Amino acid sequence: MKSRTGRKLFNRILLYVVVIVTSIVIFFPIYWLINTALLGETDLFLYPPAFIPKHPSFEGFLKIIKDSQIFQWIKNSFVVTISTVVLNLVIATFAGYSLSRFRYKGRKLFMLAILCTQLIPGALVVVPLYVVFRQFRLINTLLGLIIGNIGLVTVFSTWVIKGFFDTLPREIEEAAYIDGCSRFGAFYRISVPLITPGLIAIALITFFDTWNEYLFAVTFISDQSRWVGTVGLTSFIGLIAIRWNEIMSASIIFVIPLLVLYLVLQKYIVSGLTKGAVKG
Amino acid sequence: MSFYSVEFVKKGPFCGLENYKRILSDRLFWHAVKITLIYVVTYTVSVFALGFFTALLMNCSFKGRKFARMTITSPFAIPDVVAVLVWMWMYDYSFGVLNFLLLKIGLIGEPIMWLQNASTALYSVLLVTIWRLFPAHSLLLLAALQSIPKELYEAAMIDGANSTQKFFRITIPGIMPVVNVLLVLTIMWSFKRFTILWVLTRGGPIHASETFVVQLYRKAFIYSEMGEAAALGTLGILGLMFIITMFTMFTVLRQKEEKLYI
Repeated sequence: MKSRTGRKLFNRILLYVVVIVTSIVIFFPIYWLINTALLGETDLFLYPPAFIPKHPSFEGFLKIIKDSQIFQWIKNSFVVTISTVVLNLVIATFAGYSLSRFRYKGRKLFMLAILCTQLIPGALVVVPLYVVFRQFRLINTLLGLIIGNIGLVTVFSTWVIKGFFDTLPREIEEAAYIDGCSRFGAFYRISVPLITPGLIAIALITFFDTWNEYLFAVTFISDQSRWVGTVGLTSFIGLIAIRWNEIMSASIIFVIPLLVLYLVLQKYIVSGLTKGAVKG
Repeated sequence: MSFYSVEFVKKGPFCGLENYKRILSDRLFWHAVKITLIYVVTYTVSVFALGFFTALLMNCSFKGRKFARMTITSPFAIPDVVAVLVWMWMYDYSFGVLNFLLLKIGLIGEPIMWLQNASTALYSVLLVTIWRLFPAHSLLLLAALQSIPKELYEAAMIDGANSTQKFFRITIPGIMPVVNVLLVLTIMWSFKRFTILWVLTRGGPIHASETFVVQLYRKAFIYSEMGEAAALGTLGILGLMFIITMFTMFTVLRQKEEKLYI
């Protein structure tokens, strides 16, 4: 019979082993992504596959930049995503504030109704939306895609921002009214700034969701030069499905803005939250 | 739109339930329903299993926990499209690392055509989807685990409960509320999933991985049968509402029983 401490040690080691194995298994594809991107022509089709590039090179990156319109696609992604994020913030902030502060008939119904729209699969909505867009000649335009994306993200953002406004005590705004501030002034100068970490979080989430959006992007845009990053990346399949190092390189280029944004904004969210806590 | 015969945006004559009749009698439709059910069930079970397992792991305190948390939740940071590309490369028949590793370990006798083989296609797609999305469940279940008051465990230990009892009588009921909500949302969401399925297999070799949503998209944009697609969609929503209602009724019934205990 193993001693108490002996068994504890065994459990401890077992835990570490399981954790390490699990982490490796889960992280593996990402490691493989980076590994493949750095492979040169010669290492690419080695069998057994090279787990560490013998001659690491940026050939993949250079080639893909030269041969495809990847930067154009990333630019399009930026245009669509930033427009969506900004417009969504504006709409959701106003809507959220209204739902939070005002009382009017049909308020609860409205909230429930927009929530129900989230149940509908995107692919379902795409069909009628395509027909409608065609009428308005928005097919194959970035503007159409922006509008579509806004539809996708607004509901969630509104709900969340309403929640944030709900956490603000009304007294703050009332104090402002007493001091002669207008309704909108209080909204603009007090309520919104207090919500800032929440707004940044929503902006981040919306950015992520729109940057990675595929369904609307592939359905609404047909011009290669107007493609967004997601569609561009998938176009490599079948075309140059053989030059995997280039494809992985393109993927990494596509992912970099996300990482940068996340790292940068994370600090703001955290610091914003703690500042709020001090103010009480 | 489902009541019209719409031929790629040219509005045709009103044809009543014609579209619905055509779909319900189409063998492919029922096949898609079957595939969708397999997909939803497998996905939900796996995502919860993996999420719960990793949540339990991360709930323990050990050195390097923060680092482990980062690697375990890393798939979340990868966009769907990128995940598809990497896995496609890993699934490659001749040069993919998956076949290589499995052969080396001896789990399989010869390389498998993961995405081209009708019997493995659906599960290959599921694997990618699960890999990409389980961190959400993992984090939520971890939060649920951490919300269980430690006093309950201590009281149980004093009363002489062993690990298994502690697990089934405290841990599981403690996370049940979160699990219930998450379960409904997961099932709902799994019906909607499109990107990974479409890009990886487009509905698989001969419809092997064609779920409801994929079939809908295909009908609408490849075959340009918008009317039928719309009918398909309406049926889908009805079916989904039915399933969710059934499900919610079951969970509400169960909750009523719990109230009796308190």
